[in-house]
Amino acid sequence: MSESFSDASGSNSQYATLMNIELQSIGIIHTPFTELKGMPIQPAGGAGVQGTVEIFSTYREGLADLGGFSHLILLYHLHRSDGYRLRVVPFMDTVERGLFATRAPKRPNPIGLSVVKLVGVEDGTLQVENLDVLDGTPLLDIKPFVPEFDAQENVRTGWLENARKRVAEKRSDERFSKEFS
Amino acid sequence: MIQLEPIGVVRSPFAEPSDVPRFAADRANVKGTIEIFETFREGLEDLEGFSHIVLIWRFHKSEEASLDATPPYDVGTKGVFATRSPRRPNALGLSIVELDTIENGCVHIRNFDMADGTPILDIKPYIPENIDPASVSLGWLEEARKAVLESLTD
Repeated sequence: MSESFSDASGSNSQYATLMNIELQSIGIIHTPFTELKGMPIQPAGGAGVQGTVEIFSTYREGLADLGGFSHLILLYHLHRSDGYRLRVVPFMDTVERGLFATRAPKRPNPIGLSVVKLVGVEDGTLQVENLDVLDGTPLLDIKPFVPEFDAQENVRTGWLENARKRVAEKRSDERFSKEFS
Repeated sequence: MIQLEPIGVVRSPFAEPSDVPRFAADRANVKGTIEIFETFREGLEDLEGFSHIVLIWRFHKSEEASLDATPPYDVGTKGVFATRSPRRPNALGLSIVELDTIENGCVHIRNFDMADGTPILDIKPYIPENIDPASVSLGWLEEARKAVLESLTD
């Protein structure tokens, strides 16, 4: 846990009862990416990459009726990410940006989000496509992708506007892996 | 075990989760605010250029998780992961909302579905997915909606 949590301002002390949130992984994501270096940095770069999502047996009953959906949202723990800084130089930029205006993996609460294509469900394992996560990533939640909630129109993407077109070709360098052991 | 702490809290006119309108159209122009705790405010820089943001939050008033969910359609129970039910393992919520302005650590938003006091865990810039709407199928939800539409036109 980062130091900045311990000196959080008094303004949030009234939420003390909400402050400790404990999550447990409900499964494991298996992908061809065993190292951070060379990983796609956005879902667009993970296009066509196949993998599996193995759900632990206690949670499998919750997979009923999932088969009819073509796309799913996966929430997962960015488990190799340690610590964070509130200003970072993103992969596709050369100047510092506020962390919450980026998708950098090192965040106060390292939760990652990917939209994947569901290919099949069998014995508690999902076959999925368009994965952009590291092999062994702990899964936290699965939600059906519903365009009216999850696909917005008339979107502006700030500093990313010009960088977006290049994202698909870009692969991560070692910028975020230095501290990973 | 993964331990998390909120980065901020929602100020919303919906006092309780049950006050949040079910249909997006009924809350399209309702305004709310996310108060980001002081420690994290520096991370908001450059966010204002985005029209939409992704919020990851905690269903803090959700009852105990269940692997079965009963959606608000007459379709019986469904596996919880095939629904957006709040009563889910880890009780994580996900919303894409419209961003108006940011001032003094307050992020002003529109078209959201969080109740007052909801703890925010993460904010990410919204980047549209490259998904052809025609390629999206919605399983049981599609059938349930068709049935509702048909019942309305009867």
